[in-house]
Amino acid sequence: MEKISELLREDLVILNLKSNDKTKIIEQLVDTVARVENIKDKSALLKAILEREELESTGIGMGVAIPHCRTDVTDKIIVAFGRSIPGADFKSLDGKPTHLVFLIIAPEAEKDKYIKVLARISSLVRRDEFRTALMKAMTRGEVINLFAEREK
Amino acid sequence: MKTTFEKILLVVEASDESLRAARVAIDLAQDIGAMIIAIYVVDVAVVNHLASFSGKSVEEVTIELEENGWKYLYNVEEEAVAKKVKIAVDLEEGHPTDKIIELTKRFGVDLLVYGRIKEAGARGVKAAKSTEQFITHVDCPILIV
Repeated sequence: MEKISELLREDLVILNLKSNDKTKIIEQLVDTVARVENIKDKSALLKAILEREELESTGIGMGVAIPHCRTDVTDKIIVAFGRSIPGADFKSLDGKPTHLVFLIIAPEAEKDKYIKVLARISSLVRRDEFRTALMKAMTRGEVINLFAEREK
Repeated sequence: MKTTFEKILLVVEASDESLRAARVAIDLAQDIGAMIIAIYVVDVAVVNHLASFSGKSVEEVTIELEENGWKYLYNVEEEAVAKKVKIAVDLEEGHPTDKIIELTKRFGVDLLVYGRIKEAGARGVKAAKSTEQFITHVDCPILIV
């Protein structure tokens, strides 16, 4: 499996999300992904993510949310990360605000890899010290290095 | 006791029985418009047991089992979303039976669904004990698939 530290590039990391609103956070992450990865149908991507968000709570608790979907607007797995210092309401089961948001997008045919990426991130962020380090990271490179250290 | 099921707690495990239960829960939720909370509990006793003879640290084993648990959860989530069923996934650590009893109360669920283990031996005995605990301590109806 590809490592998260290889999928998550510096230009897909946002250290200070502009808004504390869930939909606007997703829009900002989708904008970034569309620009960096040259995705032509940005509105289809946003629609797919938001439709899925209607069906599930992607806030997994502990201040983390992982909006995700499979869609053929991309031909590869994309991971983007955004951080909200004040936090946003992603309707997490634990009721806590979300500070760390991972956007995962994969082509329809890549279900197994997509599930593995989701599972890897979900597992890594359960470690308190890892989440604290992500909150304190000063640079985009530091965020990626934190994943690289964990995935050695 | 409520007679409608709006919130279903689905116990997800690494077993065929669990997969069967998940499909029944998803179909049921689709029919009645309920939402599912899918829960996977990493058994701390299993973690300690595996760590004691695998040469790995407790944290390494925990991460491996958690990652595996998340895979099962996200697979169930995919099936639910494909049928337009609302779902939330959650992974917890602890003693599975106690944790599931606690979660039925914490989440205020209307129905508990899990897979029936029809095996003899240690696995079957453990499952039977869990069922006894659920029947005694869970306040909502239980669907054993």
